[in-house]
Amino acid sequence: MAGYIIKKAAFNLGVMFVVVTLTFFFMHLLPGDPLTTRRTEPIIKENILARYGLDQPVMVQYSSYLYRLAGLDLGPSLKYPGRSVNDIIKESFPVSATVGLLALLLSSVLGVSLGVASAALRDKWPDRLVLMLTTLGMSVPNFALGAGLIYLFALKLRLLPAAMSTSPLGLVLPVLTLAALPAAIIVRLVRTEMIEVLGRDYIVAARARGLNAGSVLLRHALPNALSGIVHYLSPLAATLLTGSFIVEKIFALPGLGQYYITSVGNRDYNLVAGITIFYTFVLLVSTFSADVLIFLINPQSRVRDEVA
Amino acid sequence: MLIRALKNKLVLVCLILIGLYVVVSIGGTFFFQFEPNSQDLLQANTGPDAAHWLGTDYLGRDLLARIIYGSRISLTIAFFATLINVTVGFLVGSVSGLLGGLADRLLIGLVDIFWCVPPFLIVVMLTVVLEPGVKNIFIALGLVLWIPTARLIRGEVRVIRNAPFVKFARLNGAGSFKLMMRHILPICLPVLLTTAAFSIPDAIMAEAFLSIVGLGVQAPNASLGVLISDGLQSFRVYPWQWLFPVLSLIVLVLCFNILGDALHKAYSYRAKGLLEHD
Repeated sequence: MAGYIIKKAAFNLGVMFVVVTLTFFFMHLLPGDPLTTRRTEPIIKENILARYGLDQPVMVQYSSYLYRLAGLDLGPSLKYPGRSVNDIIKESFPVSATVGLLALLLSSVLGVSLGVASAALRDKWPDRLVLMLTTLGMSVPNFALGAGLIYLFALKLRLLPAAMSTSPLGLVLPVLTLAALPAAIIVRLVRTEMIEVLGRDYIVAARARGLNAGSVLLRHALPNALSGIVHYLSPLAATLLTGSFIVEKIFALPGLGQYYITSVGNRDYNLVAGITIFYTFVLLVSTFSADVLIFLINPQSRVRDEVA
Repeated sequence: MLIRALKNKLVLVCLILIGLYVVVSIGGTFFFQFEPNSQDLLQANTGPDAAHWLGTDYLGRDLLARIIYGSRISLTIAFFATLINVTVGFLVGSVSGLLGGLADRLLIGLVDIFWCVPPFLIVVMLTVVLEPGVKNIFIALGLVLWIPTARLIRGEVRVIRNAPFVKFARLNGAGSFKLMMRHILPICLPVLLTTAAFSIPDAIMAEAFLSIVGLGVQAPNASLGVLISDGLQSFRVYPWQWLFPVLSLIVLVLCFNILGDALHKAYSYRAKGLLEHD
């Protein structure tokens, strides 16, 4: 148990280190510096570069970056004077996380219930309808869905605000847009797993003993089917929490994705690197906790791990 | 496998549509009356009519011509990204699976590490470093897409590594490279083909994502993604400028996804059949 967790944690730390190193050197491979686009007096430029430590040799900058990172400091933003990357993340992450959390909730509830219903009514018309909807959900990209929803609900029907407003109503469209794809994928996953589980002997036995169909479905089959979904949910949670760039752009939400896009355009290297590292960190933490969770709740995974 | 997949009418329709896209996007600009980049400011933002079937954009450029030209760029990017994906994925996967030992550990360790990094972060980073352009976008996409492919191929190769025909080829003095090309490649071909069918729509979508983020193909070139990104600016007033590029992208992506699904199914039937004969 402890060995397994330590092994996983060490691997994740390794991944984190590789990502930090790659981001850092990528950003320094770039021709020019954040000041190339501005006309600056050479002496002023020198002073600015010195202030941010950009005049030092690359390896010195790298070690000082690592040193600061160990103290969870992602450095100053190069574009917004006086603001640190930490400030920007602190400010924008809650926006992304709110939308993301709601989308996660909506897509799991919708996905699991539709998936179970679909599996229970396999090959009947509700199942076919759900499958058709999921195919649609998986092939309509979020930039199409988001704009379509704005056009329909905000411009034509005038029911909901098109962009972030102070009222919670402004969250409806972004959450719907963000939840559509994961909901479709979860429906498919749950349906497949449920159909597989429903064919097993213990379900047949439970039915043969005359248990009512609903309780067989929800109490006996569903928990087993769900353990396969956790693996998918954890990276999804991270993706949704950190926000979808496209959705934030379309709905003008001041979230992490928006900052990422503008920082890429601004060549604000520290901010790009900082958000990349933060994003990877959230992803790794959530996959790591899912791994541990699965290890704890599903004895089979332990056996599989020992065999492999 | 292809023949079995083709028996499905839907798949056939998809293949025909894909063929149509390819032919029109390559040949379209030759016989079409409008140039994708010729501006006519007096005709700016006109809706679909007899002259401009799909309307015009904010510079009066014909939208149909731009979509045709945009599909060509999107398909080019997707094709080469997929080529890189399949080639690198096959080479890394089969070398790793065949050699085993330390080389396998190192290669698969590398794959595992990149597996954990969100792919679009790598793509965005690569396009920032390489400067956006058709060539650099497909290089960046290819360099991300191969990672799952390598794992898939490694798994396949590890299964057949000890098969009698591989042992026999080895006894006959086939080196690792010859073994890979003559014996492993044909076996992996269905998997590679399926991977390619799914990789093309992935690449098209990723390209669209990059365009919307602002890292797309540079003007005056325009991919489907760039057209959608432009359309997103104006869809509140001129919805067709957004709708038509989006529809062409969705149809294209859907066709490849259905094709991929069919190939995957046909392939797994085949795999099942093989097992039954053993």
